[in-house]
Order: sequence, then C-alpha cells, then structure tokens
Amino acid sequence: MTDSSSWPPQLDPRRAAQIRSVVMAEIHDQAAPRRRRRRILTVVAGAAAVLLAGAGTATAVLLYAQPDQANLGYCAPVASLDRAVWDRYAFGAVQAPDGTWETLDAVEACAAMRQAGVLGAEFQDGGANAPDELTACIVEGELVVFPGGSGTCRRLGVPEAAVAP
Amino acid sequence: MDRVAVADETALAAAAAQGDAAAFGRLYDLHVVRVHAHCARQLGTVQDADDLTAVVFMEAWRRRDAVRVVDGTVLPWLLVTATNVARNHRRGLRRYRSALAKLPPPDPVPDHGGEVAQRMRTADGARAMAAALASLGATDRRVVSLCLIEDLTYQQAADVLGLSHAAVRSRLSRSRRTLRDALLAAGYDPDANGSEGDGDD
Repeated sequence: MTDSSSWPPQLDPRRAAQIRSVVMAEIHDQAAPRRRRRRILTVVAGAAAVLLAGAGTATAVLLYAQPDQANLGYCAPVASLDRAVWDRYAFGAVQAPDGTWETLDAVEACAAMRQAGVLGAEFQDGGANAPDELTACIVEGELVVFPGGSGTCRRLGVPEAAVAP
Repeated sequence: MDRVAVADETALAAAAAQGDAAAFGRLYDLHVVRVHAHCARQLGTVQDADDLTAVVFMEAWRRRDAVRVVDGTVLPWLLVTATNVARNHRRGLRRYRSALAKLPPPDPVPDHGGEVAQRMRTADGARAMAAALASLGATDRRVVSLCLIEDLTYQQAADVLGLSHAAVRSRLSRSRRTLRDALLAAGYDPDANGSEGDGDD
C-alpha cells in the first residue's frame, strides 16, 4: 500500500504481482484437474491400504481419499519444498453417513501415521525420536504437514495452513 | 481511453474467452488497481480487499464466456463482478480458500502518526459507506457502485447491467436517498465529507 492520504490506498505493484501469481496459478490448475485427481487418488489408496493392513490407530482419518484440497493432506518426512519429498504419503478425511466431510485435522492425521510406523524408511524419526511438533503448511496449493514448530512454514517461505490444520 | 486500448481489450477478452491465460493476465494487469480499490470500497476495509480481488479475477476466468465488453473495455463487467462477489464475499473466499492460502500476508503498514489519523478518518467514512451500500438491493447496489463510486456514465452502467438508461437514472435517484439516510443514521454526514459525487451523465 502506498498513498496514505486517500482511501482506499492504491494497490502497490508488488502486491498486485503476488495476487496475480495466485490467480494465474489457479487458472493453470483448472486446466488439468483430472490428471491431478488420478495421481492423488493413487497415492492415498496406497497409504490407506498399508494402514488398514497393519495399523488400527490411524484408520479413522485414512479410510477414504477425497481429491478436494480441503479434505486432502500430505505427510512429509522433512521440511522440504521438493514435491518428490512431500507428496508420497497422502491422507484424506472421512465422509459421514449423511455425505458431509468431517473436518480434517491434518497435523493429527500425520502424527497418527508417524506413530503407527507405517510410513517409509525416510521417516526415521518415528517412535521415541518422533518430532515434538508438526506444522501444516500450504505448498503449491496442497496441505502439507512438516516436522517442526510454528516457524517452519515461514522458514520455507510458504504460508501456514488456513484450513483446519 | 484511446482507440488502440479499445481494440486491444476487445481482442484480449475474446482470446481469454477461448482459454488464453496470457490474454487474461493482460486484462488483470490493466484493471487490477481499479478492481482492488472497488473491492475495498465495497467492503469498507482494505483487509480483505486483496483476497477479494483475487476472487474477482478467478470468478472472471471461471465465467469468461460471459464477459461483456462495454465501450471497448471489460472494466465495467469486472466491477459488477466485484460488486456481486462482495455481497457474498465470505462464500467466495471459501470457494477459493485453497488458492488464496498461497497469497502471502501483506507487508505491515508503517505507523506515521498524522498519516494514520488521516487514514482512520477516511477509513471510518469508507466503513459507513460500505454499510450504507449493504442496505441497498442487489441491482441498486450495482448501479450505485458503477455510477456514484466508479463514475461510469448512466449508459455504460445500463449496458453492462442490461438495464435501460431511464431505469439506471430512476434507481440512482431512489438509492441516493436511501444512502443518505443510512449515512446520516450512522452519524456520518455525506455532504460534509463529499463521499458522493453527482453522477451526472
């Protein structure tokens, strides 16, 4: 914001560019929704199958995949923006009998997956060495839970999750 | 607006309607400042104006087949879209929540005594105006927003809203009284602060 003597203050070019990037990213995302949905469903189905077979504690939040962003999240082994690192283990919310989706607690879901020990070898910090804190961030529009405290998202340069973390 | 700009914008709108994202981005560049100011006026605050501006353009892209060019510009159509989105802005923010989460928080505004006091006075009037706008019906709010706030001509407003020139004039006359009463009831004298223009055609 620039001019403080008139109202409203004029949008400054830097902020306009930030808004532009969000708008254009959304436009490009709309161009390939079907491809994204297939990939996400595959990942979630794989994670859910492992959990259903070997762990009972986390299944409440892992039964179904939901390709809607608000009902989907990823559990990352380390704080990294590399998609190949964070998008391997996804989880989804549970659909109630009336068709509504329960609120997804992403941090709780990821913690349950870690405690259940069903994630890959890259999650070497499980059990007694589990991270004290997990934080949900937004990366490329996806809900991603990283190990670390509240400053994790800021250090990565991404916003914290605004949707029920 | 000169002839080159008129020709360009019509072509850009046509290209965007065909799915040309770059053309749509150019329309964004042309109008984002006006749309942002319009959003702030509709809400009476700048706090949500950034998000609402993004929603306006995402909605514009979603409904790009319906974009209407008036006098060679899509600005009136964007302003109407902004007015519509502002009326249900909570719903709009929810729809695009995931996309908006990518938008970093705005930079903090430095505190400079007198400037802040001036900002508070003008922001107070803006909030009163936004509340007064909210007291209008949907169509009246669109007419007022275009003619009294954005200074479009009656004919431009009529064209983009699909109303007759006489209907715009009639709605404005009635809405002026409603706005004035609402502002006075809020303890804000529109004559003393010049918050309304004449809106003459």
